[in-house]
Amino acid sequence: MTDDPEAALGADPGGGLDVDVDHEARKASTKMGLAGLVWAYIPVVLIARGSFGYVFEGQALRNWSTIFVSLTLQAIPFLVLGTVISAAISALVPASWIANAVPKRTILAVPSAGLAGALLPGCECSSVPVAGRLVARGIPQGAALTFLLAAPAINPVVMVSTAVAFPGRPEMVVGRFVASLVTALVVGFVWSAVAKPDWLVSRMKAHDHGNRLDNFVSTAASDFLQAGGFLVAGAGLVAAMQTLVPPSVFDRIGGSGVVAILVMAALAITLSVCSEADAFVAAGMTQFSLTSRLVFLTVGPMVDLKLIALQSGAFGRGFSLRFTPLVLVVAITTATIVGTVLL
Amino acid sequence: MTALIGVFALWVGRTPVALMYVRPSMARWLTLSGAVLIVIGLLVLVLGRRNEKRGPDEQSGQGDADHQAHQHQSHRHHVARVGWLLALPLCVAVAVGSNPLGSYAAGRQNSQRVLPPGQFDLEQYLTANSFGGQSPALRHVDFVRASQEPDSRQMLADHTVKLTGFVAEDTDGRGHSFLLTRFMIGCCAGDALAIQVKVPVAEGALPAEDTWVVVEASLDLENSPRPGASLDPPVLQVASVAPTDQPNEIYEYP
Repeated sequence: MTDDPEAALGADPGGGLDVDVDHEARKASTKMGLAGLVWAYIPVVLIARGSFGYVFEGQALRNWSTIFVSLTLQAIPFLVLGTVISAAISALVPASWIANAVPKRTILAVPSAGLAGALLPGCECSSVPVAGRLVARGIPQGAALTFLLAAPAINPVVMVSTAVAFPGRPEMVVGRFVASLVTALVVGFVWSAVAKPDWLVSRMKAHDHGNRLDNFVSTAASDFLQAGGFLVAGAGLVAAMQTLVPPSVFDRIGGSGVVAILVMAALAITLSVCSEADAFVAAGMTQFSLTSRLVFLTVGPMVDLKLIALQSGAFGRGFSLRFTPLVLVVAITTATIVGTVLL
Repeated sequence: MTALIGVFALWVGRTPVALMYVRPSMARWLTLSGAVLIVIGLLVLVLGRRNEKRGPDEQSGQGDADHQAHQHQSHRHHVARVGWLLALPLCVAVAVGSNPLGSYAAGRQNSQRVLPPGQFDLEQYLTANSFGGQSPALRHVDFVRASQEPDSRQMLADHTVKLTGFVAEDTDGRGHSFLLTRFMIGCCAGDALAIQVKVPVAEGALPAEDTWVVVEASLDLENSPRPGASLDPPVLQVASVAPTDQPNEIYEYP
């Protein structure tokens, strides 16, 4: 548990400035308190379950816990992959190399980021730490955000699963690819043109101890804890939404037109289904028009509760407040246009 | 902290508990990522100790903590606290216990979802597995899919097959039937789809909700919805209903 540097500092405050000592000691004791709480909690709960079992027998609570734990466990491997890549970029790839590899001009940088996203089979949970690290390494924000949006939406795995879920409808696969890529590019360009630098505050820390292995592991650990904490918050919220608002509510809504499009966008945000599985969900919702289902597939991997939590973790709340509405509007518009033309 | 989450992931990945939450193929990756986290967590510990010993005066070898404390004090604190949330799933699993999705979730499902398509040769499967008068076991998804196709319906009516699932209440059944249910998950329990067949039973012979049963039955052509007419569950012509254990693979996968 003391792999966190803070606890270590609390034990050995000699290295700090004098004014820090008090503060650090207090922080350390808060941390010890938290740790104690978490681990004391387990035996307490096990005893409580014996006497007050009914509290934990609630069907809704059980349902919530299953979905919550499931979402978290499902995300952990992708999160680890993302943080390992992120740490590798931070510790092993020299900044000068990245600066040379990425085109300076927005007009080139954004599309190449979009293509890079298309080639990497990742899910939303891995692309957030990677994009965060790219920004911290000096890649233009617009390009990094295009990568962030494109990677989970249009990678080969997602395209194949869409083709399997919509057999005999290759236009659905084409539509998804086009709508998602266009959305990612438009958002990248708009962000490059409009955004002020302080809108995006990279929370990804750089660790520089002069030793590569040391840098790698401390970056990986702190990125994982940072992103993981926010992921858990998002997963808890998604599970609550799924439990409180049962999908059967949507049985009565349906059809086509603007209402269907807005309902499907809202569904995509609240359900937060992985981009690799959402095509199967969309394929089943036959009461909705194809265009509105394309909106679902375009919005889902780019804007959902889980992602908003992860993004505010990596880039700050001010970022999410601006970025989320922008992506949402662009994604719904693009998908509606592509759907109307293609489907 | 990192190492502890790693231990949790590794442990879950190695036990059947994982199958309540993720696909079997994912359990492997969960184990692997758990191992990676343990290695990273331990390395942070070891290297952190070493840096600490080296002393605070050394410029580049400063401990992680010093480095951060001087530069992003309040910030570090914030990050460390957020990381603690990762213990929450473990706490929840301990408090509530690990349960697979059950009849509660099934009852709240969107009833109008169509099954995703799949390749399954029913005729070949039935001929290959129906020897010695034994009824072959069929997955829910394959049974319901076949029941919705005009060509294969007749085959299901002519053959007795075995279906395993848990019992969910049939709200239209007035106590004369239950819904034999199995969840299909694409990615995790967050996107589960309940696949159900209607099992008529004699008065008072209704098994308890959420118990697992194995049903030997054929398709009741008369009472099942016609293909394309509705998405209501198909109705079984039951030969036998027997209790069984919860299977190792709780869910079906597309």
